[in-house]
Amino acid sequence: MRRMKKNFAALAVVAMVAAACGGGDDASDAPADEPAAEEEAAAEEPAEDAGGAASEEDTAAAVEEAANEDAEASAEELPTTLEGWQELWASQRAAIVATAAEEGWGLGDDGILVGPAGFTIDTNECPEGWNNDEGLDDGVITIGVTTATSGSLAAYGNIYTGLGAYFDWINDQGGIGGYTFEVDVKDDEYVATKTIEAWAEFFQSVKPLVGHTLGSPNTFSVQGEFNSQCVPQVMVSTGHQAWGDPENNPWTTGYQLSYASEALLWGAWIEANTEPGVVVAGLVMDNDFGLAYEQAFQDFADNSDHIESFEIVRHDPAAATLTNEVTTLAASNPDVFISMTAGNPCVLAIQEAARAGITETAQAYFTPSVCKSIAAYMAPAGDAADKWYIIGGGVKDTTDSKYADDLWISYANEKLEEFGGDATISLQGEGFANRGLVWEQIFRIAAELEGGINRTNIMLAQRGFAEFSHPGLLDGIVINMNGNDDAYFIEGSDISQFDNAAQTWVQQGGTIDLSGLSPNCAWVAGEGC
Amino acid sequence: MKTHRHYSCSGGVFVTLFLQRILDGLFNGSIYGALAVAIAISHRATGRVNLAQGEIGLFGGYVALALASPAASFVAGAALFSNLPGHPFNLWVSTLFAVLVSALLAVVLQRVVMRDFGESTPQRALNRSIALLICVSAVISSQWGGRARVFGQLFPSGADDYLNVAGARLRYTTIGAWVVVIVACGLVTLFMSKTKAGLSFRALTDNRGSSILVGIQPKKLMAIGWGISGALAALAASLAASLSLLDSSLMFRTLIYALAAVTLGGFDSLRGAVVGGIIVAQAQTLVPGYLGLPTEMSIVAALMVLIAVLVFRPWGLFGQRPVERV
Repeated sequence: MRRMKKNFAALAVVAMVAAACGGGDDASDAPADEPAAEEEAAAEEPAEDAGGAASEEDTAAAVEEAANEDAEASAEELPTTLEGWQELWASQRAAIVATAAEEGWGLGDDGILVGPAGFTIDTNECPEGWNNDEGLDDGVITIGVTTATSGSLAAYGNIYTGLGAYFDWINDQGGIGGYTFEVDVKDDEYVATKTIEAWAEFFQSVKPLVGHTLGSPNTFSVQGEFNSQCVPQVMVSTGHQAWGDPENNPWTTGYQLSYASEALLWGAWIEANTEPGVVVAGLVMDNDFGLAYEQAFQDFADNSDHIESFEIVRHDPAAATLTNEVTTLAASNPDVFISMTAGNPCVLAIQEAARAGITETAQAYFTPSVCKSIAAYMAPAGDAADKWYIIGGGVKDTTDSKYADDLWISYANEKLEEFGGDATISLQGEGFANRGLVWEQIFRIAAELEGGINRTNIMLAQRGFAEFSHPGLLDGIVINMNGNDDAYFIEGSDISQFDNAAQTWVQQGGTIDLSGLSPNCAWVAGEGC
Repeated sequence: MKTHRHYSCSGGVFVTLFLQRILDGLFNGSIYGALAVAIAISHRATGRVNLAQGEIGLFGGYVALALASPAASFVAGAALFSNLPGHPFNLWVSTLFAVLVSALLAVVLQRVVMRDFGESTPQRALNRSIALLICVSAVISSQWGGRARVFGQLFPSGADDYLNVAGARLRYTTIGAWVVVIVACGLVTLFMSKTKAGLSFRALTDNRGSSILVGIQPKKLMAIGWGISGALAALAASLAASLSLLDSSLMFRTLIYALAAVTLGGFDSLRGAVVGGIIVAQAQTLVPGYLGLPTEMSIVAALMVLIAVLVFRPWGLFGQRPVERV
C-alpha cells in the first residue's frame, strides 16, 4: 500500500513536470526546429483580409511610412482660432447635407432608408408601433447609456460624466434643432447580464431616441435588441471589429480604432523593430474584448515567420491581482510583452511586468489603446509605466502636459470644469473634448437633414459622415464613414511611448493612416469575421 | 510559430517557475491569513461567523486613504481630515489610525446592531452578518464610489525590490506583509495569554456556560473580540490594497478565500487560520498554473482543497475535534 502511494506520488510529480514543460494547449506538436506541415502551408499562403482591419501588407507599409515621418510632418493647414474651427465644421456638415440632398438619401415613403454606398435599412421590418420620432416628445432628447461606474472598469464611467457636461454646455447654448439633451447613465458594472437588464428598462420605460453601450461583452449582449427594435446604438465605446457590419447590424456603429487594427499594428511594429525569432507574450482579459485582441494577433502571428512563439495567459476580468498570470508569462522570457486588458488591470499589468522582471529583459512592452489615459492608468502605475509603448488610436489625452496650450484641449478643459466636470480626470476629458464633439456634429447633421432629428437621420448622419476635422485627435487622423463601403470611424493611430518623468506620451514617427482600408466584419462568435 | 496557452517552460526554468509561484502564493497567503484570523477571533467571541469582517476592514482602508491623501484629491474624507495638523499623513501612520477606526467601528456595530449576535441561531446570525456586509458595503460605495484608487506602497515594491532565491524573486512586499501579519498575530496571542481580558476571552470561548457562572461578562468580551477582528481586517485590507488598488469589491473577493482558509484551518485556531491562508493561496497559484486551468478556476482549486480536508477532518486541520458527552 505504501509503495503504491509512493508510486502514485512519483507519477503525479512526473505528470506535473510533463504538463508544465510540454503539455497544455500547444497549437503545434511538432519539434521547435521542425515546423509542422500545416504551419509551412499557412506561411506560404497569403493571409486573407480578416475584416475589421486593413491587410497586413497595407498595415506594414503604413507603419513603415509613418516611421520615416516626423510627428509634426503630417499636420495639414488647420484653423488657429475657435471661430475658424466652428466655420470649418459648419462647412463640413453642410457638405454632407448637400450630398444627401443631391443623392436622394433619406427615409422614403416606402419606409426604406437609403444612404451612401448601398447602405439601406428597411424600417418596415421594425416592430409594430415603431416610431422614428420616439424620444422627441417633450423637447428633451435622452441619450441612454450603460457603462461601468463601479467595479474594476469603473474609471470608464468618467467618459459619460464628460459627455454629460458637454451636453449641458450644448443645452446652455440653446440645444440643437430645438431640442435639449440629457445623458441618462445606468451602471452595468461591466457585467453583460446587467447591461441586458438596464436596456430592458430603457426600452420599456425611458424609450430614449438613441442608446450607447461601453464594453465588448456588454455591447454584444444588447446589439441584437437594438437592431431588432430599430434604435440607434451610437458610437459604442469598444473597438471590437464586429461593430463594422452595416449590412447585418445597420443600427450599430463603433467609434474608436478596431482592436483587430491595433493587433496588426503591434505585429507590424514588432516585425519592423525586432530581430526574427521573437517570443511574444500576451496577457489577455478573458472575455470578448480580450479575445478580440488575442484572435487578431494570433492570426497575424500564424502568418509571420518573424514571430517564433506567442505565449498567452488569460486572466479573470475581476481578478484582484495579476501576479500569477504575469509570473507564468515571465517564465517564457518574452522579447515583447503585450497587455490585452482594460480597466484596473491596465495598471496591474504594468506593475506586475516590472516586478516580474519582464521590463528588464524584453525589447518592448505594449499597453493597449484603452489604457491610454494618463490620469487613470499610467500615472497610478508609477515608475513602472516608463517606456511602455502604445498603439494609441490617435487620441489626444486631455491631461497630457504637452497639450496644456493646445487651442481645443485647453478650451475644452475650461468648459468641462465650468459645467461640473473635473479636467484632471482624462477620461472625463475624453468624453468632453473627443467624443462629445462628434456626438454634437451627428445631431447637428441630423437636424439639418430633411425631417430633422429622428432615428433614421441619426443613422444617416453617421453612415454619411464623409469628412470631419477633429482637434481632439492627432493631426493626420481621419474620421469618416461611408455607408456599406467604410464602416469604421477611426482607422489611424499614433505609436507612442510613455515618458514617466514628463507624464506624457511621446509619438514615435508620424501618424499611421489606414482610412477606408478595413473591410466590414460580419462577426460570427467562435469564427471571427 | 508555436502557441502556448496558460503556461510554458523548459526543464531549467521549471524549478525557478515553481519557486516563483510558491513565493507569489505567499503574498496572497498573508492577506487571506490575516482576514482568516479576524474571522476566527470573532467566531471565538460569539460562536458565529461574521461575513461583514472584510467590509469593516475595507472601511478602515478607505479611512487610511483619506488620511494619506491631500484635501484636493477628491477622496471622500480627505477634506475633512485636512483640518488635522500634519495632514496628509504618512501611509503607515494612516494605516495604523485606520486599524483603530475599524476596531472602533466593529465594537460599535457589535454593541448597537449585533448585540445578541452570539445568541442568534446560526441561520439568523448568517443572515444578519450578510445584511451587515451589504450595509457597510453600500456605505463605502456611496462615500468613495466604485472607482479603484491608488492606495500607495507600504513596502518598497519597485522592480529591484526583491531578494533573489534561486532565480525567483522574493519581493519585499511579501516579506513585509508576513512581518506585519506575524507581529499582529503575536500581539493577539500575547493579549490572549497575558492579560485578564484575554484569559477571560479564552475561558469564554472554551466553555461559555461555565465562564458566565464564574462572573465573566460575555457582552464586553464579545465587543473586544469584534474590535480585534476589525483591526486585523483593516490590516488585511491595507496590505491587499498596497499591492493592487483599493476598490469597493476588494475585500469581498478576499473574503471567499479567507473563509476557505479559516474553515480549512479550523474555526477555533488562529494558527490554523494562518496555515489555511497559505494553503488556499498556494492551491490558487499552483493548481491553475500547472493544470492549465483558466484563472477563473483558481477559486475552484482552493475550494477543492477545502472539500478534501473537510471530508477527512470536518473540524479543520488545527481545530479541536468536537466532543459529545453521553
